[in-house]
Amino acid sequence: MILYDVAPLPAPLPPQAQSFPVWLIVVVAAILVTAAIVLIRRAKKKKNG
Amino acid sequence: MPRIFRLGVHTLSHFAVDFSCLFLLFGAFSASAAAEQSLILGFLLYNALAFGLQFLLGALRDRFPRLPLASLGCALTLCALLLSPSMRVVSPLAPVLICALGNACFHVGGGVDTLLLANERMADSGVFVSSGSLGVLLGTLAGKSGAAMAIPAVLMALCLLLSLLTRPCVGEARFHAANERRSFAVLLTLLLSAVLLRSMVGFLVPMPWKSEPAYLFLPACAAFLGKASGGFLADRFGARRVGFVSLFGAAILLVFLNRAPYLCAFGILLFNIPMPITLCAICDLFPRNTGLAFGLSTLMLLLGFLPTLCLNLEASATLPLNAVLTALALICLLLATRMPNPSPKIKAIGE
Repeated sequence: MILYDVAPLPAPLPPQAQSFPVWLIVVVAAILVTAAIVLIRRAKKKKNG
Repeated sequence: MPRIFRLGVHTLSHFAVDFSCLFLLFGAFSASAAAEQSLILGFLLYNALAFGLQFLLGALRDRFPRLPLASLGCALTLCALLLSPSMRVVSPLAPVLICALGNACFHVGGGVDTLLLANERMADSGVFVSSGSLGVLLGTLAGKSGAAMAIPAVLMALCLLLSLLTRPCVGEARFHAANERRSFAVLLTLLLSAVLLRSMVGFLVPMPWKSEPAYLFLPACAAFLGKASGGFLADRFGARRVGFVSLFGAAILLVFLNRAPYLCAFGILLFNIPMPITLCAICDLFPRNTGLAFGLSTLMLLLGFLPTLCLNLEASATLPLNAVLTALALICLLLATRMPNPSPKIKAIGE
Protein backbone atom coordinates (compact mmCIF):
# COMPACT_ATOMS: atom_id res chain seq x y z
CA MET A 1 0.00 0.00 0.00
CA ILE A 2 1.45 3.35 -0.89
CA LEU A 3 0.70 5.80 1.84
CA TYR A 4 -2.37 3.93 3.02
CA ASP A 5 -4.29 7.12 3.65
CA VAL A 6 -2.48 10.00 2.08
CA ALA A 7 -2.39 8.22 -1.22
CA PRO A 8 -4.07 4.98 -0.42
CA LEU A 9 -3.48 2.98 -3.55
CA PRO A 10 -0.17 1.82 -4.92
CA ALA A 11 -0.55 3.15 -8.40
CA PRO A 12 -1.08 6.88 -8.83
CA LEU A 13 -3.30 7.27 -11.86
CA PRO A 14 -2.79 9.54 -14.85
CA PRO A 15 -5.12 12.59 -14.89
CA GLN A 16 -7.05 11.13 -17.84
CA ALA A 17 -8.35 8.43 -15.52
CA GLN A 18 -10.66 11.06 -14.05
CA SER A 19 -12.88 10.53 -17.07
CA PHE A 20 -13.51 6.90 -16.20
CA PRO A 21 -17.20 5.96 -16.68
CA VAL A 22 -19.16 6.59 -13.49
CA TRP A 23 -21.66 3.77 -14.07
CA LEU A 24 -18.85 1.22 -14.16
CA ILE A 25 -17.44 2.51 -10.89
CA VAL A 26 -20.89 2.32 -9.26
CA VAL A 27 -21.46 -1.24 -10.52
CA VAL A 28 -18.06 -2.45 -9.31
CA ALA A 29 -18.53 -0.77 -5.92
CA ALA A 30 -22.05 -2.24 -5.56
CA ILE A 31 -20.84 -5.78 -6.29
CA LEU A 32 -17.98 -5.47 -3.81
CA VAL A 33 -20.19 -4.01 -1.08
CA THR A 34 -22.84 -6.71 -1.56
CA ALA A 35 -20.24 -9.45 -1.29
CA ALA A 36 -18.77 -7.78 1.81
CA ILE A 37 -22.20 -7.57 3.49
CA VAL A 38 -22.82 -11.28 2.86
CA LEU A 39 -19.45 -12.20 4.36
CA ILE A 40 -19.93 -9.84 7.33
CA ARG A 41 -23.31 -11.40 8.16
CA ARG A 42 -21.79 -14.87 8.01
CA ALA A 43 -18.89 -13.81 10.21
CA LYS A 44 -21.25 -12.21 12.73
CA LYS A 45 -23.25 -15.42 12.98
CA LYS A 46 -20.02 -17.31 13.56
CA LYS A 47 -18.99 -14.82 16.27
CA ASN A 48 -22.31 -15.14 18.06
CA GLY A 49 -22.44 -18.90 17.54
CA MET B 1 9.24 -19.47 15.30
CA PRO B 2 9.82 -16.25 17.29
CA ARG B 3 7.26 -13.49 16.79
CA ILE B 4 9.92 -10.90 16.01
CA PHE B 5 11.42 -13.08 13.27
CA ARG B 6 8.01 -13.54 11.64
CA LEU B 7 7.25 -9.83 11.90
CA GLY B 8 10.62 -9.06 10.34
CA VAL B 9 10.05 -11.51 7.48
CA HIS B 10 6.56 -10.18 6.75
CA THR B 11 7.66 -6.55 6.98
CA LEU B 12 10.59 -7.16 4.61
CA SER B 13 8.34 -9.13 2.27
CA HIS B 14 5.76 -6.34 2.33
CA PHE B 15 8.46 -3.94 1.18
CA ALA B 16 9.59 -6.39 -1.51
CA VAL B 17 6.09 -7.13 -2.85
CA ASP B 18 5.11 -3.47 -3.14
CA PHE B 19 8.54 -2.63 -4.60
CA SER B 20 8.20 -5.38 -7.23
CA CYS B 21 4.61 -4.54 -8.19
CA LEU B 22 5.36 -0.86 -8.67
CA PHE B 23 8.60 -1.71 -10.45
CA LEU B 24 6.60 -3.79 -12.93
CA LEU B 25 3.86 -1.20 -13.36
CA PHE B 26 6.14 1.77 -13.91
CA GLY B 27 8.86 -0.17 -15.71
CA ALA B 28 7.94 -2.98 -18.07
CA PHE B 29 4.18 -2.35 -18.23
CA SER B 30 4.36 1.41 -18.80
CA ALA B 31 6.98 0.86 -21.50
CA SER B 32 4.95 -1.82 -23.30
CA ALA B 33 1.43 -0.35 -23.09
CA ALA B 34 0.87 1.05 -26.54
CA ALA B 35 -2.03 3.41 -25.88
CA GLU B 36 -2.72 5.69 -22.96
CA GLN B 37 -6.13 4.04 -22.45
CA SER B 38 -4.55 0.63 -21.94
CA LEU B 39 -2.12 2.19 -19.47
CA ILE B 40 -5.00 3.62 -17.44
CA LEU B 41 -6.90 0.33 -17.65
CA GLY B 42 -3.85 -1.56 -16.40
CA PHE B 43 -3.39 0.73 -13.41
CA LEU B 44 -7.09 0.64 -12.55
CA LEU B 45 -7.28 -3.15 -12.84
CA TYR B 46 -4.19 -3.49 -10.69
CA ASN B 47 -5.69 -1.28 -7.98
CA ALA B 48 -9.10 -2.95 -8.15
CA LEU B 49 -7.70 -6.49 -7.92
CA ALA B 50 -4.95 -5.81 -5.39
CA PHE B 51 -7.33 -4.02 -3.02
CA GLY B 52 -10.77 -5.32 -3.94
CA LEU B 53 -9.87 -9.00 -3.66
CA GLN B 54 -8.39 -8.89 -0.20
CA PHE B 55 -11.65 -9.32 1.71
CA LEU B 56 -12.55 -12.37 -0.38
CA LEU B 57 -9.09 -13.86 0.07
CA GLY B 58 -9.31 -12.96 3.76
CA ALA B 59 -12.57 -14.88 4.10
CA LEU B 60 -10.90 -17.80 2.32
CA ARG B 61 -7.98 -17.58 4.76
CA ASP B 62 -10.44 -17.67 7.68
CA ARG B 63 -12.11 -20.77 6.22
CA PHE B 64 -8.79 -22.51 5.49
CA PRO B 65 -6.33 -21.18 8.08
CA ARG B 66 -3.42 -23.29 6.86
CA LEU B 67 -3.50 -21.69 3.41
CA PRO B 68 0.01 -20.22 2.92
CA LEU B 69 -1.19 -16.99 1.34
CA ALA B 70 1.93 -14.98 2.18
CA SER B 71 4.21 -17.46 0.42
CA LEU B 72 1.75 -17.76 -2.46
CA GLY B 73 1.72 -13.98 -2.82
CA CYS B 74 5.53 -13.86 -2.93
CA ALA B 75 5.59 -16.69 -5.48
CA LEU B 76 3.00 -15.05 -7.74
CA THR B 77 4.82 -11.71 -7.64
CA LEU B 78 8.10 -13.43 -8.48
CA CYS B 79 6.39 -15.29 -11.35
CA ALA B 80 4.99 -12.04 -12.71
CA LEU B 81 8.47 -10.51 -12.67
CA LEU B 82 10.21 -13.45 -14.29
CA LEU B 83 7.56 -14.13 -16.90
CA SER B 84 6.81 -10.53 -17.81
CA PRO B 85 9.11 -10.42 -20.88
CA SER B 86 7.47 -13.51 -22.43
CA MET B 87 3.92 -12.80 -21.25
CA ARG B 88 3.95 -9.36 -22.76
CA VAL B 89 3.78 -11.07 -26.16
CA VAL B 90 0.36 -12.47 -25.18
CA SER B 91 -0.86 -9.33 -23.40
CA PRO B 92 0.93 -6.57 -21.48
CA LEU B 93 -1.86 -6.84 -18.90
CA ALA B 94 -1.11 -10.48 -17.98
CA PRO B 95 1.90 -9.83 -15.69
CA VAL B 96 0.06 -6.89 -14.10
CA LEU B 97 -2.91 -9.09 -13.21
CA ILE B 98 -0.69 -11.83 -11.74
CA CYS B 99 1.20 -9.20 -9.80
CA ALA B 100 -2.05 -7.75 -8.43
CA LEU B 101 -3.21 -11.20 -7.35
CA GLY B 102 0.16 -11.82 -5.70
CA ASN B 103 -0.06 -8.48 -3.93
CA ALA B 104 -3.54 -9.25 -2.60
CA CYS B 105 -2.52 -12.75 -1.44
CA PHE B 106 0.57 -11.49 0.31
CA HIS B 107 -1.16 -8.62 2.10
CA VAL B 108 -3.83 -10.92 3.52
CA GLY B 109 -1.40 -13.73 4.42
CA GLY B 110 1.23 -11.50 6.00
CA GLY B 111 -1.31 -9.18 7.61
CA VAL B 112 -3.34 -11.93 9.24
CA ASP B 113 -0.24 -13.71 10.54
CA THR B 114 0.99 -10.44 12.02
CA LEU B 115 -2.35 -9.72 13.70
CA LEU B 116 -2.69 -13.24 15.09
CA LEU B 117 0.79 -13.17 16.59
CA ALA B 118 0.52 -9.64 17.96
CA ASN B 119 -0.62 -10.70 21.45
CA GLU B 120 -2.94 -7.68 21.73
CA ARG B 121 -0.23 -5.23 20.65
CA MET B 122 -1.29 -2.77 17.96
CA ALA B 123 2.36 -1.92 17.27
CA ASP B 124 2.96 -5.04 15.16
CA SER B 125 0.33 -4.23 12.54
CA GLY B 126 1.69 -0.69 12.17
CA VAL B 127 5.22 -1.98 11.64
CA PHE B 128 4.02 -4.54 9.09
CA VAL B 129 2.05 -2.05 7.01
CA SER B 130 4.65 0.75 7.23
CA SER B 131 7.25 -0.84 4.97
CA GLY B 132 4.83 -0.80 2.02
CA SER B 133 5.13 2.99 1.71
CA LEU B 134 8.87 2.76 1.14
CA GLY B 135 8.46 -0.19 -1.24
CA VAL B 136 6.00 1.77 -3.35
CA LEU B 137 8.19 4.85 -3.57
CA LEU B 138 11.43 3.00 -4.32
CA GLY B 139 9.70 0.59 -6.72
CA THR B 140 8.23 3.51 -8.65
CA LEU B 141 11.59 5.25 -8.88
CA ALA B 142 13.44 2.06 -9.84
CA GLY B 143 10.84 1.17 -12.49
CA LYS B 144 10.90 4.64 -14.03
CA SER B 145 14.68 4.72 -14.06
CA GLY B 146 14.88 1.43 -15.98
CA ALA B 147 16.78 -0.49 -13.30
CA ALA B 148 17.53 -4.17 -13.88
CA MET B 149 14.71 -6.66 -13.30
CA ALA B 150 17.19 -8.75 -11.30
CA ILE B 151 16.89 -6.37 -8.33
CA PRO B 152 13.22 -7.05 -7.48
CA ALA B 153 13.52 -10.68 -8.65
CA VAL B 154 16.38 -11.49 -6.24
CA LEU B 155 14.60 -9.61 -3.45
CA MET B 156 11.37 -11.52 -4.05
CA ALA B 157 13.20 -14.87 -4.24
CA LEU B 158 14.81 -14.15 -0.87
CA CYS B 159 11.47 -13.20 0.67
CA LEU B 160 9.82 -16.30 -0.79
CA LEU B 161 12.46 -18.50 0.84
CA LEU B 162 12.06 -16.71 4.16
CA SER B 163 8.28 -16.85 4.06
CA LEU B 164 8.42 -20.60 3.38
CA LEU B 165 10.08 -20.92 6.79
CA THR B 166 7.01 -19.46 8.48
CA ARG B 167 3.85 -21.52 8.67
CA PRO B 168 0.48 -19.72 8.72
CA CYS B 169 -0.85 -19.00 12.22
CA VAL B 170 -4.26 -19.93 13.57
CA GLY B 171 -6.10 -18.41 16.49
CA GLU B 172 -7.96 -15.27 17.44
CA ALA B 173 -6.87 -11.65 17.34
CA ARG B 174 -8.05 -9.23 20.05
CA PHE B 175 -6.74 -5.75 20.76
CA HIS B 176 -9.35 -4.06 22.98
CA ALA B 177 -9.26 -1.01 20.73
CA ALA B 178 -12.96 -0.95 19.79
CA ASN B 179 -15.54 0.57 22.11
CA GLU B 180 -17.52 -2.60 22.69
CA ARG B 181 -20.31 -0.84 24.54
CA ARG B 182 -21.73 0.04 21.13
CA SER B 183 -23.53 -2.46 18.96
CA PHE B 184 -21.70 -4.47 16.32
CA ALA B 185 -23.45 -2.71 13.42
CA VAL B 186 -22.77 0.79 14.77
CA LEU B 187 -19.14 0.01 15.50
CA LEU B 188 -18.54 -1.55 12.12
CA THR B 189 -20.17 1.37 10.32
CA LEU B 190 -18.13 3.90 12.29
CA LEU B 191 -14.83 2.12 11.78
CA LEU B 192 -15.27 1.39 8.09
CA SER B 193 -16.44 4.98 7.56
CA ALA B 194 -13.32 6.27 9.29
CA VAL B 195 -11.11 4.30 6.90
CA LEU B 196 -13.16 5.29 3.85
CA LEU B 197 -13.18 8.99 4.74
CA ARG B 198 -9.46 9.04 5.39
CA SER B 199 -8.88 7.28 2.10
CA MET B 200 -10.86 9.97 0.28
CA VAL B 201 -9.01 12.78 2.05
CA GLY B 202 -5.72 11.13 1.20
CA PHE B 203 -6.49 11.35 -2.47
CA LEU B 204 -7.89 14.85 -2.37
CA VAL B 205 -5.15 16.62 -0.39
CA PRO B 206 -3.31 18.89 -2.83
CA MET B 207 0.47 18.68 -2.43
CA PRO B 208 1.92 20.96 -5.09
CA TRP B 209 5.48 20.34 -3.90
CA LYS B 210 5.30 16.53 -4.07
CA SER B 211 6.97 16.11 -7.45
CA GLU B 212 9.92 18.38 -6.67
CA PRO B 213 13.10 16.28 -6.46
CA ALA B 214 14.09 17.76 -3.10
CA TYR B 215 10.87 16.51 -1.50
CA LEU B 216 10.48 13.23 -3.38
CA PHE B 217 11.02 11.04 -0.32
CA LEU B 218 9.20 13.25 2.15
CA PRO B 219 5.58 11.95 1.90
CA ALA B 220 6.56 8.26 1.84
CA CYS B 221 8.96 8.65 4.77
CA ALA B 222 6.33 10.56 6.74
CA ALA B 223 3.72 7.87 6.04
CA PHE B 224 6.22 5.16 6.97
CA LEU B 225 6.99 6.83 10.30
CA GLY B 226 3.34 7.55 11.02
CA LYS B 227 2.20 3.99 10.50
CA ALA B 228 5.18 2.45 12.25
CA SER B 229 4.76 4.65 15.33
CA GLY B 230 0.94 4.64 15.45
CA GLY B 231 0.60 1.22 17.03
CA PHE B 232 3.30 1.87 19.65
CA LEU B 233 1.66 5.16 20.61
CA ALA B 234 -1.79 3.56 20.80
CA ASP B 235 -0.46 0.73 22.97
CA ARG B 236 1.13 3.27 25.30
CA PHE B 237 -1.45 6.06 25.47
CA GLY B 238 -4.71 4.43 24.38
CA ALA B 239 -6.42 4.14 21.02
CA ARG B 240 -8.93 6.96 21.43
CA ARG B 241 -6.50 9.55 22.78
CA VAL B 242 -3.88 8.87 20.10
CA GLY B 243 -6.51 8.77 17.34
CA PHE B 244 -8.00 12.09 18.39
CA VAL B 245 -4.73 13.99 18.79
CA SER B 246 -3.21 12.69 15.56
CA LEU B 247 -6.26 13.26 13.35
CA PHE B 248 -6.93 16.70 14.84
CA GLY B 249 -3.34 17.76 14.20
CA ALA B 250 -3.38 16.21 10.73
CA ALA B 251 -6.58 18.04 9.81
CA ILE B 252 -5.04 21.43 10.61
CA LEU B 253 -1.74 20.72 8.85
CA LEU B 254 -3.16 19.04 5.74
CA VAL B 255 -6.07 21.39 5.22
CA PHE B 256 -4.53 24.76 6.07
CA LEU B 257 -0.75 24.29 5.75
CA ASN B 258 -0.49 21.81 2.89
CA ARG B 259 1.63 24.12 0.76
CA ALA B 260 4.53 24.03 3.24
CA PRO B 261 6.37 20.75 2.51
CA TYR B 262 7.68 19.95 5.99
CA LEU B 263 4.50 20.93 7.82
CA CYS B 264 2.44 18.97 5.31
CA ALA B 265 4.77 16.00 5.75
CA PHE B 266 4.24 16.18 9.49
CA GLY B 267 0.52 16.24 8.73
CA ILE B 268 0.94 13.08 6.66
CA LEU B 269 2.79 11.47 9.55
CA LEU B 270 -0.05 12.34 11.94
CA PHE B 271 -2.65 11.27 9.40
CA ASN B 272 -1.14 7.78 9.21
CA ILE B 273 -0.93 7.22 12.96
CA PRO B 274 -4.57 6.02 13.31
CA MET B 275 -4.07 3.31 10.67
CA PRO B 276 -3.13 0.50 13.11
CA ILE B 277 -5.87 1.70 15.48
CA THR B 278 -8.68 1.33 12.95
CA LEU B 279 -7.28 -1.96 11.67
CA CYS B 280 -7.04 -3.47 15.16
CA ALA B 281 -10.45 -2.10 16.15
CA ILE B 282 -12.02 -3.77 13.10
CA CYS B 283 -10.26 -6.99 14.09
CA ASP B 284 -11.87 -6.72 17.53
CA LEU B 285 -15.24 -7.08 15.82
CA PHE B 286 -14.17 -10.25 14.02
CA PRO B 287 -11.85 -12.10 16.41
CA ARG B 288 -12.31 -15.36 14.52
CA ASN B 289 -12.34 -13.77 11.07
CA THR B 290 -9.13 -11.78 11.04
CA GLY B 291 -8.72 -12.25 7.29
CA LEU B 292 -12.09 -10.70 6.58
CA ALA B 293 -11.36 -7.85 9.00
CA PHE B 294 -8.06 -7.08 7.28
CA GLY B 295 -9.65 -7.28 3.83
CA LEU B 296 -12.54 -5.00 4.77
CA SER B 297 -10.13 -2.21 5.66
CA THR B 298 -8.44 -2.43 2.26
CA LEU B 299 -11.83 -2.61 0.54
CA MET B 300 -12.69 0.70 2.20
CA LEU B 301 -9.47 2.17 0.81
CA LEU B 302 -10.61 1.18 -2.67
CA LEU B 303 -14.16 2.46 -2.13
CA GLY B 304 -12.78 5.74 -0.82
CA PHE B 305 -10.61 6.07 -3.90
CA LEU B 306 -13.32 5.32 -6.50
CA PRO B 307 -15.36 8.54 -6.00
CA THR B 308 -12.22 10.60 -6.44
CA LEU B 309 -12.08 9.29 -10.02
CA CYS B 310 -15.32 11.11 -10.73
CA LEU B 311 -14.41 14.31 -8.90
CA ASN B 312 -12.41 16.89 -10.75
CA LEU B 313 -12.15 19.60 -8.12
CA GLU B 314 -10.01 22.70 -8.07
CA ALA B 315 -7.40 22.76 -5.31
CA SER B 316 -9.28 25.57 -3.54
CA ALA B 317 -12.50 23.55 -3.54
CA THR B 318 -10.90 20.49 -1.99
CA LEU B 319 -9.85 22.35 1.17
CA PRO B 320 -13.31 22.73 2.76
CA LEU B 321 -14.26 19.24 1.58
CA ASN B 322 -11.12 17.80 3.18
CA ALA B 323 -11.84 19.66 6.41
CA VAL B 324 -15.37 18.22 6.60
CA LEU B 325 -14.28 14.69 5.69
CA THR B 326 -11.43 14.71 8.22
CA ALA B 327 -13.76 16.02 10.94
CA LEU B 328 -16.22 13.22 10.17
CA ALA B 329 -13.40 10.65 10.27
CA LEU B 330 -12.32 12.07 13.61
CA ILE B 331 -15.85 11.77 15.03
CA CYS B 332 -16.17 8.19 13.76
CA LEU B 333 -12.85 7.24 15.33
CA LEU B 334 -13.72 8.91 18.63
CA LEU B 335 -17.06 7.12 18.88
CA ALA B 336 -15.66 3.75 17.84
CA THR B 337 -12.54 3.45 19.97
CA ARG B 338 -12.12 2.99 23.66
CA MET B 339 -10.04 4.51 26.39
CA PRO B 340 -7.98 3.52 28.25
CA ASN B 341 -6.40 0.60 26.51
CA PRO B 342 -5.57 -2.20 28.91
CA SER B 343 -1.94 -3.19 29.14
CA PRO B 344 -1.07 -5.93 26.69
CA LYS B 345 -1.26 -9.40 28.11
CA ILE B 346 0.91 -12.08 26.76
CA LYS B 347 -1.27 -14.85 25.50
CA ALA B 348 0.01 -17.85 23.66
CA ILE B 349 -1.55 -18.28 20.26
CA GLY B 350 -1.10 -21.67 18.68
CA GLU B 351 0.80 -21.83 15.46
